[in-house]
Amino acid sequence: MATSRWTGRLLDVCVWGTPVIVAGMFLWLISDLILRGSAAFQPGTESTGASYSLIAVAEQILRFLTAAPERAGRGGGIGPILVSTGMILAVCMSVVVPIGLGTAMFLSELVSDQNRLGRLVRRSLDLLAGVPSIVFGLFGNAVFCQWLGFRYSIVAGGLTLACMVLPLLIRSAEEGFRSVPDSQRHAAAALGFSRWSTVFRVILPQSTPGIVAGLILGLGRALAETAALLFTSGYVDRMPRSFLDSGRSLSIHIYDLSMNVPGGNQNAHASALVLVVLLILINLTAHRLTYRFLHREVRYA
Amino acid sequence: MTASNSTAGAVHVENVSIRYGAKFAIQNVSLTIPPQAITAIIGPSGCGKTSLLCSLNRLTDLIPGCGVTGLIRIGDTNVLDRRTDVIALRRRVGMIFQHPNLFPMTIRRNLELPLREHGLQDRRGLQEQIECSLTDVGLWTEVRDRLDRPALSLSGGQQQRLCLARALSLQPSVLLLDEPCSALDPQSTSVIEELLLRLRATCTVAVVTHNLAQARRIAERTALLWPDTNGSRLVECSDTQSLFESPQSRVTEAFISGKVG
Ligand SMILES: Nc1ncnc2c1ncn2[C@@H]1O[C@H](COP(=O)(O)OP(=O)(O)O)[C@@H](O)[C@H]1O
Ligand SMILES: [Mg+2]
Repeated sequence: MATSRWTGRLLDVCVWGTPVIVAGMFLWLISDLILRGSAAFQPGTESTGASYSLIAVAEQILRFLTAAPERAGRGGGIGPILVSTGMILAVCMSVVVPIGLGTAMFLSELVSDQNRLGRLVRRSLDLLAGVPSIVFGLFGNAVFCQWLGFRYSIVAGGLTLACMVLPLLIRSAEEGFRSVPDSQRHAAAALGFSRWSTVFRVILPQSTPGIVAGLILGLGRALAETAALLFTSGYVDRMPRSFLDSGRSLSIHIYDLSMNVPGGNQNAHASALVLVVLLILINLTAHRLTYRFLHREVRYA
Repeated sequence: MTASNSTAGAVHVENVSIRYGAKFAIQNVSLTIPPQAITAIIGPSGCGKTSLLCSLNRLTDLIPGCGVTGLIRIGDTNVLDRRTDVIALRRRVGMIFQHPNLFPMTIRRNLELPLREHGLQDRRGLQEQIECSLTDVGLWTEVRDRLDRPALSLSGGQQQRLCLARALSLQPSVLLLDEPCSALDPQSTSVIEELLLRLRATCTVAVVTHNLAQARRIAERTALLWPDTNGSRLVECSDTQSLFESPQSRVTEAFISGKVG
């Protein structure tokens, strides 16, 4: 009896302890970033008589988010870098969403599990998902920068990221489609819906949670990616003039500041803080959207 | 009452066999489902009643590995012909499933979606048809104030009636029902039975049922399917009264007296 009581205790401790550890790691990371990064937002480090008012801090944050980097990033802000990052993500997502949803639809709605082509596609996706990002970088450099002649550019970077993110989105969108029970397909078919109406009006609205989850995963991975962009979108930290111009993404900026620029640590942390906040924001909006969508269409009881 | 097409066609089934992979569910079944009458299809579970029903609107197309051979005619449509327009066919042949399968959307949207799919776009027309089909199934007074509530918040009986309203809104000439009352309480069951009796005037109705008393209550004709070594066969198909009172086959006799099945 005593043993079982002690085992119970132990299990209790584990079950309560592990989430505390996980949450603790997250809090540690965040507070570390805030502590080190926020130094960059402290007003008046160069001017005398610093006032630590809230407005001044907000001004400082705004300045950091919009100003151009100075002295290789040691000073100034990350304005052009945010713009480049946004443009890279835009290229990536505008390619990934249509192709990803199309492929997921193909795999789940058009071909059976035994279909040769379907199996080939699935197998390739599994392989692609496991390829290290540096390999995608080399591939993207060979194909988009050189062969297609985009050079080091935002387009080349975005397309390379698209190749990387595609398997993630396809897999979770496919799961989303498959989570819709066959009884829904039968209901639609029995009412004389065409195959495409069934997909677009019945299946798709019910699979948004899976699709949104895939998009978050994909965006997160794209936002965090460094290696694949090193050889494709380039290094230049000035404001990009077009999608064919080179641009430095946030993650590359962080990498560069912490590895190659002595004295860049403070701004590296500040940029990392921005990156993490962005990721959290994407997550929250996605959840918000799914929730809203669910409560419009799929209100269960 | 729904104005169904007056050309409610008979359903002729000739030598139909249905297989899943290599395994036959039914073998060489022939029967006629006459218009303006209710035909009950009875038999023990797993004897292929659902499969037979699904072959009539080619829902079997959706099941991988399922093959249907033989001849099925509805009105003057050759159902199993490759060139048959299945969408037009399924529009004319409504189907109700064993478990209500509403879309997880609002009540209104459940009814609007199929109507829009078949070309009805204007708001007035939609609203009228929605009211008309909900009135048909006796649901209008119950849900008129909550058309924009989720359909899945309805009770089981209401959900099944909404399925029926959804099917009827397309004004089918043939209605197939697969054990429509098996999960319902007696009250919803009797509402649906009354509805079927009214629909009989305009529709060809085929209803699969586990409930022999129900077959006796509502069906003019009854068909009994019975499992055989390689797929079920049709044992008997005649008018309900004679099938129950003077069965031609010993299997029928045993089944209706509850000794087997
Ligand atoms: N999708 C399917 N795949 C394989 N076999 C099936 C499938 N659906 C039904 N069957 C088989 O066909 C036979 C008839 O099933 P069904 O038509 O559902 O019978 P019933 O409706 O009379 O209970 C059963 O033996 C069942 O196992
Ligand atoms: Mg069945």
